[in-house]
Amino acid sequence: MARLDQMRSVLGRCTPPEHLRGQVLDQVRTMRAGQREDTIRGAHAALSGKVKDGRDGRRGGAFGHAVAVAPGGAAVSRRGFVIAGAAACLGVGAVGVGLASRMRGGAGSGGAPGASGAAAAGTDAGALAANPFGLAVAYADEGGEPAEPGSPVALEARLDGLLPIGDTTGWYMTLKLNLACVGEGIETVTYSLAGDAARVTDGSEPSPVPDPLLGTYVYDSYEQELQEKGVNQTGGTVQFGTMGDPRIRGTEQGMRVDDWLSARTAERLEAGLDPLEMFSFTVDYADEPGWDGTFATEWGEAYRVLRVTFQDAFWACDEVVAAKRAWLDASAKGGETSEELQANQEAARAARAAYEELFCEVAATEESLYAWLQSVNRTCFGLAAEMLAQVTLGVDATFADGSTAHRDYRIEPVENLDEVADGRFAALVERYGLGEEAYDPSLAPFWNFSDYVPEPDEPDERLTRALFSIADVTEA
Amino acid sequence: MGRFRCGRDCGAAGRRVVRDEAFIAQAMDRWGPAVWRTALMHVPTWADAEDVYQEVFIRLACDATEFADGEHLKAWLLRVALNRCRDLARRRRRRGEVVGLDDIAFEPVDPGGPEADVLRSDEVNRLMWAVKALPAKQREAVQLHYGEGLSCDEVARVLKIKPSAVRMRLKRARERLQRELGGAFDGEARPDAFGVGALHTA
Repeated sequence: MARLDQMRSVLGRCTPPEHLRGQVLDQVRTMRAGQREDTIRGAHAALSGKVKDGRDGRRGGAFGHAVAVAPGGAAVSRRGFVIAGAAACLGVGAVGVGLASRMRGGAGSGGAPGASGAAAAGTDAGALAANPFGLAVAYADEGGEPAEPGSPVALEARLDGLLPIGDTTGWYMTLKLNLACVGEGIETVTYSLAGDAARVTDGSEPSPVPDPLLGTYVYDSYEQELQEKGVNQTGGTVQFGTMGDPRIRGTEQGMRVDDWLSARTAERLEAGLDPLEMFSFTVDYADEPGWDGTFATEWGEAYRVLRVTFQDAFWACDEVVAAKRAWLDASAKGGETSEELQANQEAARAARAAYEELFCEVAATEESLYAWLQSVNRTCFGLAAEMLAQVTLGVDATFADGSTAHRDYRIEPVENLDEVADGRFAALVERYGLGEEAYDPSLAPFWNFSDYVPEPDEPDERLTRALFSIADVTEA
Repeated sequence: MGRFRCGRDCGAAGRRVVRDEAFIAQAMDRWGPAVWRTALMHVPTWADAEDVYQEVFIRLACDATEFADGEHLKAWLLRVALNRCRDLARRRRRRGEVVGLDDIAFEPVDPGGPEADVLRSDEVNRLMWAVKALPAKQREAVQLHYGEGLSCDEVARVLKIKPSAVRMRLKRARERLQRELGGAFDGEARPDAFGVGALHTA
């Protein structure tokens, strides 16, 4: 009898054909040779006067031993220098020292893959992502010098801050919370969300989610338990993104899953709290994030994301979507008797037929389908903006001297949000196409690109345009 | 012989090699088999698998990601490999291409080994083919978890989904395999009992 765990044994000694290794290395050499001319031109340009203000290059004999002094006076190896030159050739606005030092620790490293490499943070004093969450407070940096403890704190947004992750058209949106700053003497940072819609919950995806195979909802068992306890998950929320599974955490603490979950749930219910509500958490400023950008919090691993849900408003956003909701609701109904079950199944079939009729109208042509999805997508950004307007993002810093600082921020949509959202949608469709999933009534309009290659070969300005901005709303 | 397509997929127009040849070579030595197995399980033909393999390591050569450790690099390679496989499938779907599966036989390396009879059995071959015929999402989870030995959390990080979703995909895959294979399939996972095995093309 075959078992899945035999897969590893069967595949275990499977190795790639020997010629592949040589082909890859040959191609790398060919590409590198093709780059050589550009590299030489870039290096010569830098050496001949483009690098000034303490950056004048010194040639140490042959080109192969060229050494340059990068901003700040740090000596840059030939490798770092060459890369900086190459970056200049490409028009990349890279910061010389930062790039070079990062490359030495990573891409340009001759170290063995698998060896523990130096983390990026800390090698680039000017990097904004010094804090693990990418969002931090800092002493106001006026005149180039860090202010004294107790001075006002400030927050900055990087270019790719608050952009969607996964580009899902549906009743939730995940935004990259890539706000950052640097500061001195910060020990911990506490992040908090305030407002009726604020929540910090577990789970990397909202549940329930419609299952295309079953044509109905699939509830995550944990959240289903909470729903059975009366916790309302259908309204809109704004959450920090954590992936810590409370059941796993319970196991790690040596408790049976059910016991741990029950204890935590009871504890929070007794305190009058929603078991899912974790409004704030604290991270050590010096903590390094995990390789995938996660970092440890008291609630588990957290991502640098802000997750916004708007279920009720989404399902009412147009008649097609509303019809789908009616079908999903109908199909989720069972029955205590066979007659009741049969009646509910018939109702579900009728609801499905009604939805599919509407869907077929909007999916009649690629143009009409595009227009519908674009409209739903635009609506989703508007709904997300409405939810974000209901919360305040608080940041509390604790400094080494014991002093603290607090700031409140609000995330606001850009003025031309619809236009930017439409542009983003157009860029994604151009890049990836609508895909056959878009024509599937059981999936639509949950249309997303997250399953496919997210790495663009060429930058598209429409995909980096800001959708939201952050405003300091701290009361004096 | 694989059809190398770096000019398109590696983006020769905008990408440059930024890593040492030694780094790429060592990465292939250490993680190449995992990338190869991943490619074989998710594309229909041997030639496609060769393409995917080459594209993955050329992308590594052109990518400036700083890897924290070997596991980070492995996860990155597997993710890129899966993305390449998905890309290939999407391109084929758009072009309306239907590609037959290569005749790949799954056989043990050591014909005289204690588990050879089991590994050589038709049941194992049927299982491997049934896994290859699973829906892509289930197949990815099965291959990474059972084929590569990644934990559910590790699979979740590679696939960028939550662990509970991984478990759900595995559960559905087992159910589907049970339907497909009936009594020839034991859905219960057990500790690895075999030491060797191999994959050969016919």
